[in-house]
Parts: sequence; C-alpha cells; structure tokens
Amino acid sequence: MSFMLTCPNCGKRQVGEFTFRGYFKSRPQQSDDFASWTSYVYFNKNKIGKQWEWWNHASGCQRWFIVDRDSAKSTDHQSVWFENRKTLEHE
Amino acid sequence: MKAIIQKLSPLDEAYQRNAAHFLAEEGWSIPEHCGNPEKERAQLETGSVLVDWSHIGKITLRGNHAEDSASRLDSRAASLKPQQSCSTDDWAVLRLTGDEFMILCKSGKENAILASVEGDDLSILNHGGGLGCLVLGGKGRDEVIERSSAMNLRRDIVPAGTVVQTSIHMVPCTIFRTSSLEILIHTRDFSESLFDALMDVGHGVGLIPSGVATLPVSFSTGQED
Amino acid sequence: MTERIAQHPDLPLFSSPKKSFSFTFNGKTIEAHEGDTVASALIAAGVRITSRSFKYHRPRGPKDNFGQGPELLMTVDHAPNVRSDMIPVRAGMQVETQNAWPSTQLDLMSINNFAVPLLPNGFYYKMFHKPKWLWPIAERFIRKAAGLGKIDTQGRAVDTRYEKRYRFPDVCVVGSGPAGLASVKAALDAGKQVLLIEEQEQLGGHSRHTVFKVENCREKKLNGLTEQEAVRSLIDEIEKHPNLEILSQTQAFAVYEDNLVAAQRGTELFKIRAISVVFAPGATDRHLVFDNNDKPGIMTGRGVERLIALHGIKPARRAVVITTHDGGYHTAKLLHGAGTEVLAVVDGRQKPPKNDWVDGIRKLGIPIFEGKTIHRVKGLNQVKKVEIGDLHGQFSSLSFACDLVVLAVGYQPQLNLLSQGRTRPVWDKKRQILRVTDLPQNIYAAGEVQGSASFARLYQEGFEAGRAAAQQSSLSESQRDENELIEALPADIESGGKHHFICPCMDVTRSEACHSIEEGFDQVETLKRYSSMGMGPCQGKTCHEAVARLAARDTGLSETEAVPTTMRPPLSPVSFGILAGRAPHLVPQRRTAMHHCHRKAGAAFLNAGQWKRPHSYLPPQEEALMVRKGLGIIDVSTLGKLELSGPDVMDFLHFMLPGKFRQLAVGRVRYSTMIGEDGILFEDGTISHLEEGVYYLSTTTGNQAAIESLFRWWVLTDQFKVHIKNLAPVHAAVNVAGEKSREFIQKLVDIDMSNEAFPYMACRKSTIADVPVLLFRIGFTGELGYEIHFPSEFGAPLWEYFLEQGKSYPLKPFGVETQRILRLEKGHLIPGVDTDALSNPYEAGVDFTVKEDKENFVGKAFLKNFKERGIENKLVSYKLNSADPIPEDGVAILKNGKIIGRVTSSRMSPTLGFGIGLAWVPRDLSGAGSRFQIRLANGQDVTAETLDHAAYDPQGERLTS
Repeated sequence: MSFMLTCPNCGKRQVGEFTFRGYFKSRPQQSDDFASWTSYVYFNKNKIGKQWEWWNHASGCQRWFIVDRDSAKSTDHQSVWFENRKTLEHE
Repeated sequence: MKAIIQKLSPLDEAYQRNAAHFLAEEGWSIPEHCGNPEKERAQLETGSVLVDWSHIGKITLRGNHAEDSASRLDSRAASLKPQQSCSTDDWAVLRLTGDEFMILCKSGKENAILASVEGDDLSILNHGGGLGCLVLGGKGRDEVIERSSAMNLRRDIVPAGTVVQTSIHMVPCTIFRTSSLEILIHTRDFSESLFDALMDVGHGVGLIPSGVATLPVSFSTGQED
Repeated sequence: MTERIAQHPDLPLFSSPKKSFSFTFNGKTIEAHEGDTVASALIAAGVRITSRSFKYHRPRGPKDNFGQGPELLMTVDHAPNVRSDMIPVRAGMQVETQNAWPSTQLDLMSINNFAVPLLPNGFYYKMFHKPKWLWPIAERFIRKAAGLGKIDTQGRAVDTRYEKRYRFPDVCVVGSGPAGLASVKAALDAGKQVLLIEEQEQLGGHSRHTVFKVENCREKKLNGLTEQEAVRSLIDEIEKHPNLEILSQTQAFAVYEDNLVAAQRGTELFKIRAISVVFAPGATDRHLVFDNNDKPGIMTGRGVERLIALHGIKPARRAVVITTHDGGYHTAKLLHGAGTEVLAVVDGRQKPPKNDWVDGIRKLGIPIFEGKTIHRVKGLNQVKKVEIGDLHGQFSSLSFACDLVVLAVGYQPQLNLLSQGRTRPVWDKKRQILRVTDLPQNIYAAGEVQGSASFARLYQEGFEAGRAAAQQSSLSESQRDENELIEALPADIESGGKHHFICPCMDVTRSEACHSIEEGFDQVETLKRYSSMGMGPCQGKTCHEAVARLAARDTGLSETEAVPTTMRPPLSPVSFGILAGRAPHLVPQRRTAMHHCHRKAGAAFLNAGQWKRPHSYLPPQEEALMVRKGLGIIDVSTLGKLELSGPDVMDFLHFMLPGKFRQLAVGRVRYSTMIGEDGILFEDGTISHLEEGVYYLSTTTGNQAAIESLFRWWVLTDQFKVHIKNLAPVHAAVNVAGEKSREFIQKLVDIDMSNEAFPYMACRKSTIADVPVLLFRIGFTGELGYEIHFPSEFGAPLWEYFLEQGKSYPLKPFGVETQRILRLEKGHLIPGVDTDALSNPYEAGVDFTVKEDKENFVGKAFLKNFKERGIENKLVSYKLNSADPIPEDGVAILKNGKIIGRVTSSRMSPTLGFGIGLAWVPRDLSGAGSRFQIRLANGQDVTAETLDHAAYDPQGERLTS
C-alpha cells in the first residue's frame, strides 16, 4: 500500500500518515432489535468498488473525514468533511 | 524572586551530552551554545545547526470561535487558509485547520497572549512543557530535511510561511517554515528520539547542535535567504 | 584468448585507461584497469569459469555482462551474491566464487550433473519424505548441495551504514539510452524538475558501444555522428542543467501506486515520488534455447560489444556470430577490429538485406551462412566447437572449432518495471516481442522496451514521452517500420540432446518443463512455481520470454496466449539492510520528563509500547514491601489525561462512559470503565470533577491517543458541544504511596490534607514549591496515597525536590513491576492484561461501573444482551498455599485434563507470603473458597483458592484512613 490519500485539510499525503476506522455505517436506534446491532458492529459489505470509509489523519492534522474509495484501485478516491458528505456522487 | 523549581526542556539531557552551556530565561534553563559560539555561527554558512527552543510559548486555540480569537491578537489571522501563517518578530499565528490555530511566542509572553485571545466557547491550551521545539537553521538544512521526511518539502511547493503537520523520522511534528529556519514542534515525549535521529542523519552533512546564541528566538518569516 | 587492446579502428571514442591497480580473486592477485567492473577485469585476466549452477553445478561463464543472469554472482568483500559485472572494481577488493568445492574449475559437486537427471523432476517434493524422519536428514544434504553465496555472519561486509533518501521530481526518467536522454531533454525544455536514474556508472545505454550512424533524427545536429558520439553530445548538453539531477549507479527496482519509485545506490535507498515517470529501460539480447546453451564461451552480442568498447578487451581468439539482424554484423565488425578471428556469421534470415554492414562483413572475407542457426555447442567445461544447421534443428550441416559463440538473435524488452503486479505483458505478433501497452496514468514507456528501432526512432519516442510526462497528457501509439522488426527464431532450437536450458538460474531444462506439464502443472503460474523457472536471481529477466513461449507451446496454447507470469518487485536482489535503513529511527522511544532521574538512580527499564518506564530500582519484592511499610513514589506520567468541558459535557460523559456522573460533585473522583459498541471492556480510569463543568479523565498509557481520537469522532458525528484538551504530555504525574504519605505531602502544600477535608476518591488543587499541582486521592496500590499532576516542564527538578524533601522517611522511588505486585494484592484488574477482546464488564467483575438504566450510551445494546445471557466465566482473585511455586502469567487452569480457564496475572505477595493472582474460571468455581488446578509451564500443578475480596486489606481500611 503506497498510495497517496487526500486529506481535505492537508492535501495529498502518504497513506501511512493515516489511520482507518472502518466503513461508514449508520448507527441503529437504541430501540432497534438486537439483530440490527449485531449487523452494525460485526458485518461489513466487503465489496469491490467504491465505498464510504472513515479515515483519520493521525500523523497530521488529526481530523476525521470521509473517503469514497474504490477498494480495487485506491488512487481513485474522493475525500470530504463529514458535513459535506452529501456532495459525494456515490452513496 | 527566583523560582525554587527550574523549568527544564525535554532536550536538557541531550544538550548536556553535547557539552552545552545553559542560560536562564523566564525560569527555564535553555542551551546558549555548545562550547564554541563563533564556530557554531559560522556553521550556518557551511552546514546547519540544531537548536532547542522548547521554552517558547505554545498556545492552541480550537473551536468555532478560534478564528475570531486569533484575530484579536493579529488581524491577519482571519484571512489565513489552513497551513498558512502570519507572524512578527515576537509571535507567529499558525493556522492548522479551519478551527485550530497555534500561537508561538517568546518565553514569558504567554500571559499577555492569553489575555488577548480570551473568549467564550473556545478551547485554549497553553502547552508549556508538553511540546518540545527543535529548530534547524543554516544553508545546509535541506540536506538534513531530505533525509528526514517522506513528505515533499520542496521549497517551491512549500514556501516560507507555510505550516505543515507531518512526521519527521516517525515523530509527528508541526513544521513551521520561515525563510531561514525549519521550526519543528512535537510532543515532548519524542524530543530526545527526534534529536538523535536528526543528528544521526545530519552529522554526515554538516549538522551540529548549538543554542539560542546562534539562533535567537524570532518568528518573522523575512526574506528568502 | 582474452587480451587488452590499445586501440580499435571502428570506435572513434575508444581510449586506453591510464590507471591500473590490483585486487584478489580466490586468493590470487589480479590486475584491473580504471573503468573495469569486477567481471571485466577477471575476463581480461583469462577467467572463463566464473560460477557453478544452482542444482547441477554445471560450469558457467560470462554471458551478457549486464547483471542479468546468475553466471557472474560472486562474493565481494564478504557480501554474497554480488553481480560482479555491475560493480566497479576497487583496489584491494577480495572477490571469491560461490557454490563450488573445492573450486569452480574442479567442482566435486558437479557429480550432480550425473546424479540429478536420474532423479525425477521436482524430486525434493516427492522423495525422501517417507519415513518422516528421513526428510530432515535429506533436506540438509540437498540444501548444502544447492545454493549460492554464504551469508556473512560476522558482518564483515565493508559498508554497513544504510540511508533513506527522498526525492520529489516532476518527471522521473529511468534509463539513459537515446530514448531516456531525449525524454530528459523534452521535460527540461518544458521547465520541469527532472530526476534521471541510470543503473550503470556512465550514461548512454546501448549507444555507448554502437557505431551505427544516426540518420533522420529530429535533433539535426546528431545526424551523421555515430551513436556513441551522439549520446556523448547529448550528455554533455544536459549534464549541468540546474533542473536536472542524475543518479548513476542507481537501480530502480520497484514501482508502486501513485508513482512511488524505489531505487538503490550502494547502501542508500531512494524513495522517489514523481508526478510522472518515463520508463526507458531498454532491451537485452534474446535468450535462445538449444543444446548446451549454458556453456562458458557463449556470450550475447551486446555482452561482447560491452567488453570491447567499454573495457578494451579482445574477448576471444576465434568466434562465430549467430544472428538474425544487422546488429550481429555490427558485433562481428567490432570483434574483427579487436583482433578476434570471426569464422562465420550465421544469419537466420533466408535473404539478408544488401547494406553496408552485411557487405562490409563479406568484404572482410568472413563467410555468411543464410537461413541457418545454431544447433549445439560442444566442449567439457567451455565451448570448443559449435554446430549449425536449419532453423528447426533437424539437420546439422556445419561445425566450427572456436572459443566464443556470439548470440545476437533479437532483443527482449525489460518489462519488469512496467509490469510489476499491474498488467501482464502480451505477445506482439508484429514486433515478435512481449510488450506492456496498458499503462496507468502518468506512467510512460519509450525506447527499445517497445521493440528495437533506429536511433532516430528511439529518440523521437523518448522526446514525445518526455513531453507528455511534463504535461501529464496522453502519449500517441508507438510505431515501428518493417525494416526495424526482428523476426524471432523458434523459442527452442530442437536439435536433440538433453541440455536445453530454459532457466539457467534455476537449472531448469526443456525436458524438465515438459515433465512438469505432464504431471499436471499445465498453467504457466503453477508450472513456474513447481519447476521454479524464473524464480532465480534474474527473476525472469533472461528467461521470461522463453518460458512464456515454450509453456504456451507445450500446453497446446496458441502464440497469443504466450504470456509470462506476473512480475513483482524487486526487479533484482535488494538486501534487507537497504529496506530496513536506519532501523532505530523507525521506532522512536518515548521518555517521561523524569526519565534521566530514573536512569541515574540505576533503574532497570521495561518497554510499555513506545515508552521506556522503570521496571524497578531494587528487587521488586523488596520494593513492594518498602511501599507497604514505608513511603514510595512512582512516575506515572505516561497516563492519558483528557480535560473535558463545554455545554454538552455531561451528556457526552453519559453517552461515552457506562456510568452516571450527574451527582459527581466538584472535588470528587470516581473509577470508570470504558465499553465499546460491542459491549466489551477495553479501558479503565478515573473521572474527576475539577471545577464546575470541567472534568478530568485519566486513561491507561497505551490508549492515550486512541481515546482522544475516538472522542473526537463521536463529537463530530453526534455534534456534542464539548471541548477536549489532551493534557497527557502537558502534565507529568507521580503517585506517592504509603501510610506516611499524608504527613509528607501536608508539609509541602497549603491545603488541609486531613481525612475529613480530603477524603478517599477526592481531588484538590494546590501548589508545591510554587508549582501548581492537582492532587487525586485514589488507590491503585491499596495504600494511603496521592497522585500528583503538575506541568511537565518542572518534571525532573520537582521529582528531585520530592526525594530531597522526603529524605527523612525515606521516600524511595518504585517501578512499574512493583506497582503490578501491589495492585495484584488488591485484586485490581488491568484491561488488556487481565481482560481481552471477549471480556464484558459483568464477567470481569466491574458491573458496578455500568448503569444500564441510562437511555442511550455506547455499548448499551450489547450489554443488555450480555446481561440477559448471563455469565459463563468470571475473572476472580485467587491465592495459593505458602510454599507453592508461582505460576507464570497466562498458564492454563485444568479440570480432568481439559483446559477450563487461564491465569492472567500471577505474583508472589511479599506482604502475605503466598502466591496470588487473577484468573478466568467457569462460574461454578467463582464462589469464595472454590478450588481449582493451575498447571505451571514446567508441568507441575498447584491448587488455588478463589477469593471474593482483595487478598490484602479486604476492607480497604488503609486506603480510606
């Protein structure tokens, strides 16, 4: 893994400067059944193609942001702040 | 009244090992030079020097009102983009992100700065000894930098006045570049390791340790040298 | 025989080197000239057999002189497997051959040549494995017989300082032949910062030894010059350009995503991140498979030209040139000019063209044979005779007695860097070569790597690539004229005989490959791995084309399916030292402000993640008793410390932590755990209410950064209005413990330290020696004690001040190991040591920190589920009998021979005189007085008794006194 990930604040940096939290998932409501909670915690789509992910610029500005990354081709990605996630073309 | 307990830089031991002469400033013990001030000053022309500025004031402002607060100290702060700075000889305002600023100032001036930036709904942290500060100066400093960072720090891409947060020898640093200095601010726990790593790659390309007699504290970005 | 030559009629730039010096080869002194590689000096001195092959120990000699194959691997100055044709020789170098005993001349292991063919293909997979005990013995012999150099276990290799260097050019050009130089020129003209990488010491590529005349070149001033002169002129022009950096003797060995090019120069690793990369790595002479094609005395056309033109060596007395294009005639002319008798030029073309080069050879009286090629060579240890015949190996018509056979039968593009894991090459039918045409953005290819061509064409291609690289635009399709194409001979001249080597590195013959296919390995990827073809030191640079074509042919596929296997980094051998670099700098150490006080006090240190912490100053058992009976101080600066405030701070705490804190008054402290969304316990610490609306959370050392990061994620996604300050490095911290601690600290502070004014689980602010401090009365060690936090710049001086002020007690420092014993006597768990990724708070016995009736908090759903399911195992304190040996951390608990639990922490208690610990046991053994069996690492068993309270001071009287 040697691609350059784009931080919305700092620009393109080596991927080693970042940490990865996991896929973007919506937290269930407290009242939802336990099966939705198990899905939320343990299950991931693991698909080939674009997906939303949480990344943190740990060795840099230390900000959290969302990356819409192609899991087969990491150089193809788009990074936005959480507030601006609706601007991503792909859900 | 002289303080009972002295303030020490996280690099105190490292500079002691390099035969530093110390001076007292605002309750801190800080290296003045490493035994040969003329030679160390001359090294700025032929190589580079590594100086400890850990005693300077380092204050971060964070929150939605951080920009307003920073502007009260220096009005230029409002028009800074992230990774830009504005400075005078006495202080520097570094904009790290949209909502976070770091202010550097001469030792002893922290309270005055805090008074001017005070505000509501704002996180203000005076780091004191929590951050160390190493400064690289001299015509040969690029030789050291190019062996120390995996980030592109070419001078045409990262000009004087820029602030970048990246890692140097695996130590996360905030790098403030002036026209003649690279100011490396980092968590104090790593100071000695960072010093050792820089001296290790640097000693073969003309890097020597020195003190504030060679590089007195000044934040102005000045002219390109 | 080989000789040095003083001049050459056809090489205008030829000059004799001035200096000479000596080095040793297998103990003998050898003379070398300025500009020699180790190999060229040995060749000039008459060395013909330079190594023995991997499996069969067949004699091998120089072939390409370009670092491609295994023939010239030697041990140089104790470093094994050095490509002797790639390194300049230095005075005093010690060179030794490898893998031969007693010498390469007479290698007794060559008995393998007779024995191994009797063994089946891939015998090491099939034979000597039954009975089981036979394999380890057989393996040792097999490993000894095969192999290359010996590792320098004493580390005597000359230069062992490894450096990492970083570069960020706009355009990186790999290769400095005509195409590479043209790319550099075009990129410089466009105003870009250019980095040129060249593997050899000199720039110029194959043109350095080529005297074809340049015609029709877009760079008009080069027309009419020989290629040699043309590249010299180009180099002189660009060398001193301020925007150009040249790295020579530097090999680019890998390309990764986003144009990260890795290159090695000596002991330096260059990590180059370029905006665009132009690859112009060129091509090498094609590998031809025929009977005995690995004998010493067979060289490639360019290999011979390098010896003549670059090192001034006449390579043989009598030579035969096997060719299929004008390049062979060029080589023949240079050989003739160096004094070698060229017996014949054997041209595979039915009708060679009429041009100056072909006619020139005729005029020299050298016979030309048309429509013919090489069938086999003969000779025991080196070439003595060559036999030629038709192109399919059926009828051998002629033979020549000679000491050199030159193979100039086309060029193989060096595709490794272009391909590297991204795309497979495809067979280009027109150009009769493998090519990579599908390149990612901002990567360009130019030059012979696209197929051989005239100088002008290569220059044009390079110039266009350099321009496209500078502009980051697309590049037009590469073109080749009819007269630039070289027809490929059959991949194997099937002239009979058993020694058709497809892969000289790994000693794999055509018949072995066919046997492997018969055994079922009929896909090129599995065929490669089973036979090990292409997996040797050259990594397929020599044989990938032959492997691909023959594998396709022998498995019944068509020519278009002739593809080599995926090429992966590194291109060529890279030492571990280069990759590791300045290893200590990869793992920086973290030190507290008091670090050097501990070092000077003689503490033994331990590693806690990246931190260095004092393990103990005296034997831990003694130190623990000292704290219980006296007064101790420990440096706990590594703890995480977060200050939280803001309008939503209480909602935030209620959401993030499992407990309830609305009633936590100012000045009070509470123990808290942290639970993940999965209901698992991962952290514990204390939460203190410092002043109205301001809270102070302590965390364990390891989670310092992780907790802050996690909190900020929640603040972002759920929009809590909270301010978080990370005070971990800002505050240093110590813990003063022992029954005299109140008395001691009262002398230093100006607040009331009495039990009524400052009870257990409370916090206060004060000053000590004018330093502002925070005091926390908490009880990890189980003694009356106070944790003191203060600004870290006072660290060491304040620590010394404490010790000075406490001299009368005496106040003594204690370390982490001692603290571990003390807390174990109180049954306190440490998350991550006593718990793991499956531990929920109910099982761990900290359910008092969880208040499930809160509305919404992290982990609620899973905690509810865990509570409903009930617990199966529990973490309990236990004790042993007095004389029992102490189990190690992590050993198993058994019942009827089955493992039912494990010990997480175990120590001897100096205070109580028996062993104590924490362990996971099934629920039915968790009641007080239950007995269970612990098995020590040495197999001995001890019986433990469950405790439902702390082993030491169960009522906590000392803590709350």
